[in-house]
Amino acid sequence: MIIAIICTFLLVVFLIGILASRTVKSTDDYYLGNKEFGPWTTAFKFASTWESGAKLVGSPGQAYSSGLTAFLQGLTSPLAYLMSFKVFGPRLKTACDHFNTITTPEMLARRYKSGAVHTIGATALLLGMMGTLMGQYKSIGEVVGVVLGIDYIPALFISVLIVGVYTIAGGYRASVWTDCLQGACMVGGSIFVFIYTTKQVENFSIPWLNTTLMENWPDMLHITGGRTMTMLTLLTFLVIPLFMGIALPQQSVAIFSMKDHRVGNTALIICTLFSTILIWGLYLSAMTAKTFLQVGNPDMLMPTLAMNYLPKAVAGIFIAAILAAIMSTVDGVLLVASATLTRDIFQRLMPEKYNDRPVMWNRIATIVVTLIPLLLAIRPPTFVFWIISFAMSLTVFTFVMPMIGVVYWKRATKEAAIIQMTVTSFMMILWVIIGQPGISGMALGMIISPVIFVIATLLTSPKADPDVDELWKKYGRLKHE
Amino acid sequence: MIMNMPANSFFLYYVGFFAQAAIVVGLGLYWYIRDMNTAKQPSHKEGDHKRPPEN
Repeated sequence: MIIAIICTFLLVVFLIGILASRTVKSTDDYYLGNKEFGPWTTAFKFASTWESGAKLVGSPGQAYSSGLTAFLQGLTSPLAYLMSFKVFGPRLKTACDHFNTITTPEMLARRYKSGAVHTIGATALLLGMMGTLMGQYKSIGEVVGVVLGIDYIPALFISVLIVGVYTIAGGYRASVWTDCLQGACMVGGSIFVFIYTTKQVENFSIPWLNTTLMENWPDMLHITGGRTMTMLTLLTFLVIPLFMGIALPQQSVAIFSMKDHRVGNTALIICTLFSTILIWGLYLSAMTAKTFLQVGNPDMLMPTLAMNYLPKAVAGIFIAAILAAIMSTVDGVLLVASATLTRDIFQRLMPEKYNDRPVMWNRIATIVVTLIPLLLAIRPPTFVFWIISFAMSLTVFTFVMPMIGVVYWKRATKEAAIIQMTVTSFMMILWVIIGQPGISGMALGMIISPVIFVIATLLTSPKADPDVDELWKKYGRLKHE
Repeated sequence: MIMNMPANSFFLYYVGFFAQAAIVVGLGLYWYIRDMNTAKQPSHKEGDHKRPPEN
């Protein structure tokens, strides 16, 4: 029964991709779905890309072993959606339309009028996206292997083949349509897990759960899970998600593809409800499971809970939800990496060749970015674990400040963008290689990235640019809309 | 202790999250209704057509 539901789910996402492939006519279609998306599709794309497999497997596992401290990772999600759709969103959408761009490095290049910014951005982005993909591939291979009872390598190939085929064929539209289905699975799966887990105990209530945890595992109710945590680490968890809309290109693309900036007003409500259900449904289930279930490896908590305590049909939906969470992140990242490879590298090197058959080259690029991390994920060499470790911090801190210069800080200069992107990228990689002494790479990035960008901007003088003046006039008009 | 848990954890995790969620959903609804009302209002051009001719 469980396998039948999972196979049906995989077949449906595969068919959606094939169906979407018939609608792809241009590069704008392939990478942004012709910018036609309303609130529901935008919200499901944005939220399901953000809520990766870690949120459905790793974080509930952490809630099971450490308690409330696992909530830190999603604690500022509602505020992050508000920042993404209302603080940055309208300006980001306006800038995307104004510069007529598809990728974040392309947008930065046009804002700062710099080929160097374009090249540094594209390189950092490709490296970051490859690391993210390898991490997600590893997770999906392990989950599918456990569920289908097959080895890691065939499980890895089957799952990557499915997500790869629908993304290669259908592009962004396939990614959005499948994300809607996958998002629905994630929400439904989380609600079912909560209902069936709390049914395992008599008279479930939050005060009852707290009393039981307090009596047996009191550290689970402490802010830091009973461990020492510096204020800087705490701030890292709370502050970094607030910038996801501009700092993570796989999230920005959902804002680029909105049909209008007002779409964000409704999308942020849907995203907030989506994350609330996911976070509270799963984490409370995990902490409740602590009272009746013992598992050695916390990462296996949710699959164990699903297979042993849920009705077979519901377990199938939940396992499909775990796959959905990973696949929705993978398809978003694949398209961003592919767009970077074609628009930011290939088109600049061989414009005539690319412009001759753009959709074909877009699909070839998606095949390349699907296969390289797949081959590296089979037997990952040491450097792969480094790339996975610095992927997130590299992407976030290379882009966050230059993107602030796109949407809010007109004075920001080209020189500041080049210096900040170069130094931060180098430091994020170096910090992981030398073992993150003293503070984490994330905390380091949170300090050096704004400091370098602000100082470098103040030490250099901005050049007059009528294009940027025009953009700021458009920003001014947003206040009256 | 609030709800049988340390008060600081209760305020950070429960109050902190749900206060944010309530504010964000409330603001979203406000903007949504405002957009709907703006869309329903006749444009100046339409209003001009309906205005009776001045003597």
